[in-house]
Amino acid sequence: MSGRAWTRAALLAMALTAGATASAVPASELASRASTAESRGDLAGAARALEELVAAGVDSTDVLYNLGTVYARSERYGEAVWCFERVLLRAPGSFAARHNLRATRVRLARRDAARSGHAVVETQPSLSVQLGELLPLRYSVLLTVLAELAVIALWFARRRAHAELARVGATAGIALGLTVALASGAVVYARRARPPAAIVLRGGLHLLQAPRVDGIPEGALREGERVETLRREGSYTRVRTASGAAGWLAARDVGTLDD
Amino acid sequence: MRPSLRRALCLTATTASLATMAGEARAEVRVTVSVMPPQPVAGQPFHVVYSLQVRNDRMVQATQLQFPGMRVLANAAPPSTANMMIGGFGAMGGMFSVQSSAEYIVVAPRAGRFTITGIGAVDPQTGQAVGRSSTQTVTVTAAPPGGAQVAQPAMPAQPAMPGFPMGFPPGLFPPGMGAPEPPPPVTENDPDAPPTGQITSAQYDPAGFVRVSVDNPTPYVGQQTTLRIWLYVPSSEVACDVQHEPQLTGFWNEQLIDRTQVRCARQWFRQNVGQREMYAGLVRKVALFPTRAGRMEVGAPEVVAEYIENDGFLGQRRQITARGPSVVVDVREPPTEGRPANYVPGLLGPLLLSAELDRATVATGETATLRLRVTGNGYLGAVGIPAPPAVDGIRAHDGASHHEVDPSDERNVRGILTSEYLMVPERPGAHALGTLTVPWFDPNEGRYHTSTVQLPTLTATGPAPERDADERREDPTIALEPLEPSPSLTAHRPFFTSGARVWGVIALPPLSLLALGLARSLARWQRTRASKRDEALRNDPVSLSAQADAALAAGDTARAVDLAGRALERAKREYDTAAHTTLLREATDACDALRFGGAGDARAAVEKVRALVRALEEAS
Repeated sequence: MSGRAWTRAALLAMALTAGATASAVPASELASRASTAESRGDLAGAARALEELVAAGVDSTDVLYNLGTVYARSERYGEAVWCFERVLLRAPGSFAARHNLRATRVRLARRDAARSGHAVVETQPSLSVQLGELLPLRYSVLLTVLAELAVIALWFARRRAHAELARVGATAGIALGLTVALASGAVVYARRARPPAAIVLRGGLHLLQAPRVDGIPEGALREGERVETLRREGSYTRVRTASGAAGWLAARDVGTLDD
Repeated sequence: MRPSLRRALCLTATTASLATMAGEARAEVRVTVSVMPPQPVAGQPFHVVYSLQVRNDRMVQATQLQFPGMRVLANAAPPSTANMMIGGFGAMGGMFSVQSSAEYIVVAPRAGRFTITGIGAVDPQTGQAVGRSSTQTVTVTAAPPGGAQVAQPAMPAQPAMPGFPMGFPPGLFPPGMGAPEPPPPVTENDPDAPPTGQITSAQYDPAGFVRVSVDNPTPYVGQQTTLRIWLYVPSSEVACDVQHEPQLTGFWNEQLIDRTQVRCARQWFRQNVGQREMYAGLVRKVALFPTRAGRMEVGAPEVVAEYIENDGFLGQRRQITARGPSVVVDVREPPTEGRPANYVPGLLGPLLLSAELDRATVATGETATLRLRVTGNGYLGAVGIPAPPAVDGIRAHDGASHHEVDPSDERNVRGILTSEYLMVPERPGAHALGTLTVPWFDPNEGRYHTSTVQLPTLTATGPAPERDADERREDPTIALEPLEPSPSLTAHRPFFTSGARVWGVIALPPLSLLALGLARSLARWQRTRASKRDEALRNDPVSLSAQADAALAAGDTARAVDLAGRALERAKREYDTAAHTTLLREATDACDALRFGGAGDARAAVEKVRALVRALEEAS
């Protein structure tokens, strides 16, 4: 593409962006509003501003982290857990999000214990979940591709190498590259093979036998509980808990964890 | 005179009675135990009537009787003036008195002397004994030899009169006084009366049967339908017990008959069934509230009853077990048309809402309790109501919730739900808590309505508590990390949203390598093929002869002769030369002369070869 064509494309993109945001509050304004509200203790106002940001498509890990923290301070623990889990799916190295997720789960457990006399704290997910969330999906795919490219390059190098030492080194490199490619491929597979995970956003919910408002309640769900989403029908989602119980839940009460 | 009263007057009775002066002045209590017949037969049921007579309108409760060594077939609550008060001029000097009695059906397993203990009376408020009697001895005789049918003992005076569960003790109706009226016939306007006409929801049996009915077989979710169970027997003197309660799965239910206060049936009706007069007793009345839509079944009840057959002077005692049919209720879901978004299924109106704060003014950061009270039809506790709206500057927490049922109007059992919310103002000032609107469904009109209540205003005084102080008080192990001060305001655009993308990207390098290898192989194959084609073209007779012409034109006679010779040799191999032997010979001779003799015209030789090749080409 010539330089003139690039310039035209850039101008068109700017025009479209300006048109899209002309009628809405700018993202920076919303972020500023959230920060101001949070600093004066208006957690509901801060949450509203951040929710508007996310609804407008500005859902970076920073925004989700801030929203999760505001939720946690507002004792909306299920939604806070959902936000932190999403941050960690995208950025597993976010120590602040990991710390706040743990603190939120402990706060939630304390509140449940104070209300009902018992509580469950999810501290460590299952091995398959851990394997699937070892790396964000895009990093796993990237690592697999890089390992494959390395294997190919080493294979060509080995063919052209004349020295015995170089051939041995290339062979070892190929073995290592294949191992890395297979391992990261397994991580990708583990992530893709499982049904999409989700978080129960509110407390006092029950699984329903049928996707209807008058479906018979089956089992109780915990706020912040991790479930698997099986399918969607209308405004209801069929979910399965870690204990294997399956049932329907209003879709608005479940937050899906995506990459 | 009714037969039962006639029997009471004719029978003899062994009576142990006690009259005592209670601690309070002029209060007189009499406790009486009568055994009917006086000498029961071993193995045959007999009656024990436990009577309490109180003069001067005092609350007294008889103590529980004990029958050691005997089997109690029909137990009863001890008589109490609170349970049953019947005023009359009894045997206590013609003064106004209160009497109550209970009847037990007992059987002694063998002949001999048995005792009845526990006879006495207490003040139910203080628990203090106001009357006590010694034990009553019962002499049980052996059954006659040969196992012959023993004539049933006659009933005690006024036992178990339907409609008067506690029965009437002997002496309550002295000669000359009228007996209680028999139960009324079924009337159309009494909802508790069994339906008249064809007997439905029952399996008719002249010895007795159970009839089950619901007043609304197609209710909406949450709407009351009342289940009634009647016992039909051909006698007015009956004792009964519901052995198996009806299965009520899928319903919230409220019992409208207090089982502790009613023996057998709450109310009796006369009804002609199959040209026979039968007595229908209302043994169960339950308000049902369906919790879901669909076809639901109320399970079959089972009732055990014992009654005096033939209602004569020597009536036979008969025991039956009757099982009623199950009843199907077709529960409807409220219509979706016009249904408000926040409608809670099962919430039926009309709803009455009220809201109050325990304190209208609190210090900032302190808690006030908002109490929402909702009165409506059915079980509100199982349905719930929406929470009050969120208010800026007020932190709300769920509090206690309390639910009561008001069954005073049996046709329309009401639920009262009280929900508390703890409201914590975070800023000083007057905080209007807004309004709460609750949608409900009217099953009679078939449409939705809303009830609204204006929530009160909470005033917070004093400065807001310092956040730093709050943070310091917070448990450090669950302290939250602060917000990101300058968050990145970008959109997350995931690329790997489908399996095809994920596995496509991963498969890209090996597929590229494969494609590269294939391309290289293809190119090599094409090169080989072109080379072969060129070779073939070069050795073609026509091509060789043309090349010879070109070489001749270029002055390279030796090459021209060589190419012409090769063209001739290829032509001999590739074409059928039988038809062109002359041309072939001439060309061969010319070429041989040049190649081996070293003499001749090269141009002519080439021309001859070309003519031969052209002829052969055309012939082929």
